[in-house]
Amino acid sequence: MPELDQWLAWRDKGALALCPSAMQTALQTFVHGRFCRYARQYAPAFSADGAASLPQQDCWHWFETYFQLHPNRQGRSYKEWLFARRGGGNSMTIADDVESGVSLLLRDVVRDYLRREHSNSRVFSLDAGAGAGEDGAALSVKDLLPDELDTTDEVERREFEEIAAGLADSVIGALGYRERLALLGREVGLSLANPVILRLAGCGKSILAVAHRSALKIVAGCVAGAFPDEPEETKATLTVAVFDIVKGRLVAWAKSEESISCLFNLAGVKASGMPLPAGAPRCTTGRGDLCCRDEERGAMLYGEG
Amino acid sequence: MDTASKKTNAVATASHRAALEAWLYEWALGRTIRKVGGSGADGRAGAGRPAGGEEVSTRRSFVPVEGQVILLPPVTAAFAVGRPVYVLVLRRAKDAFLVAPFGRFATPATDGEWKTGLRARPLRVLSFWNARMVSGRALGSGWLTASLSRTRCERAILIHEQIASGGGRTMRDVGPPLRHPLDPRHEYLAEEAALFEEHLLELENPGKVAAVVYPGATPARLKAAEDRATYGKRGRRRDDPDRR
Repeated sequence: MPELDQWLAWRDKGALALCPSAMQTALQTFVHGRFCRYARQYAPAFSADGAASLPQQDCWHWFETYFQLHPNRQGRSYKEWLFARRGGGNSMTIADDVESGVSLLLRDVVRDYLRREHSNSRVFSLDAGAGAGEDGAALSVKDLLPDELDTTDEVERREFEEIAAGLADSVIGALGYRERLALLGREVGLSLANPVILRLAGCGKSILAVAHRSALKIVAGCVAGAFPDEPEETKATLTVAVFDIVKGRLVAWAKSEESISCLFNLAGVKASGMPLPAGAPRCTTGRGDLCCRDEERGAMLYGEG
Repeated sequence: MDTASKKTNAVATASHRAALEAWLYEWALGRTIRKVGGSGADGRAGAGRPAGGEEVSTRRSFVPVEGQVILLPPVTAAFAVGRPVYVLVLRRAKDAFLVAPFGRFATPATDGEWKTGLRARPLRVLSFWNARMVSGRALGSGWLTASLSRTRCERAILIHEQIASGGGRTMRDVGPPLRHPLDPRHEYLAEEAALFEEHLLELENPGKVAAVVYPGATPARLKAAEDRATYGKRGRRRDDPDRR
């Protein structure tokens, strides 16, 4: 068993490897004994049979590094804490104080070791065998579990989609040309101040912004009008679903309209960050290439605006 | 209830359940291991044997600063559940400091505890619910062990303020809320509060009583139900048949 001078030597040298071999053995044996006692106490009740057979070096490593915050002296203050617990008296009493402190620390060390290395006894692998199936093939626990898909949620989702698809028709019918363009422009990632969109809409950016807000109000109004008694959460979910369908249909409509399909080319240029041709206006805002000048770039590239 | 809110609640419940399971596992481990620690079967000292404690004044003290992690010096009281107590300095108020101790487990127990994300094992969970004011003298007698980065420290202070104002339940990285009266976390909270309180009490009053003592009634004054019979002698009551 270690004596006081051996504990003090460990503290002063900073690492066990720097101590004489006899001293290393004594300290490691003590820590290993305590470590195994704590682990053994736990093992019968839980599934940690191998915990009590950890090598001495591993036990010591767990003990020495658990409370260490940093490798420097400041981060190893727990050693100073340990020796500050000692009281007066002879060397044997002081050694007892140090040992009791080491045991105190080891309880936390063993608890954390078991937590990390040994799972709870109530937890078992999904790949564990669960007998044989009808055809004689081995079954695992995973095979017995229900699918992750919740059929209730799936039914609800489909119901929402069907309702939303029905409402989307009436919403699109209620949207004007400018409102459609405003929604479409935002959907393809263009600004409502884009000169191409403005030219197509035949108005200024302020009026187009008003049209965008108006389109959103029409979507929300249709849902609220169709289901006035539903809770707000349901209406919000349905509005989002209707909005998604409306946007998809507007994209399909725009692709079929030759005069509007140029918006997709414009959006493609913006997204790809294609270099400007010689002579094209450069960004003067200092915010990079993709900024307020993008609309002008697109308009010049396609000879519009 | 609609699908979206049902899913949100389901996710919150599942994460709370997983966090609670992890915490209960650690709690069960700690309780089982602690049963061994009373005495050393090998004839050596057992865990938590009350130690003498070094005089605090013999060490050089320092002035704490916000964001510092300080290891409090050991005290002489017999802490059956004692361990090195690390605290984080949250705020300075004149001569005192608001500090929050780090918890003993790796998983936050309640919505008053925050998972710090730090790798160091003793610093994984901060117990904001147990935050207290400590004098600079008591705090400066410990060991300065680490300093949090400015960003992490600001985040910790922000989360502490949210928890203190009762808004902790909506935040990430905090534990599941405590509702049931028979939840073992009540016992954990009581243990942690007692440990930290007694620790600070002794640090603030070195060399004095290390626990709150409530003096009993003065022996000279008898209560209404007490007679004047001396303990150990057979008293004679009015309805005693031997008296007749």
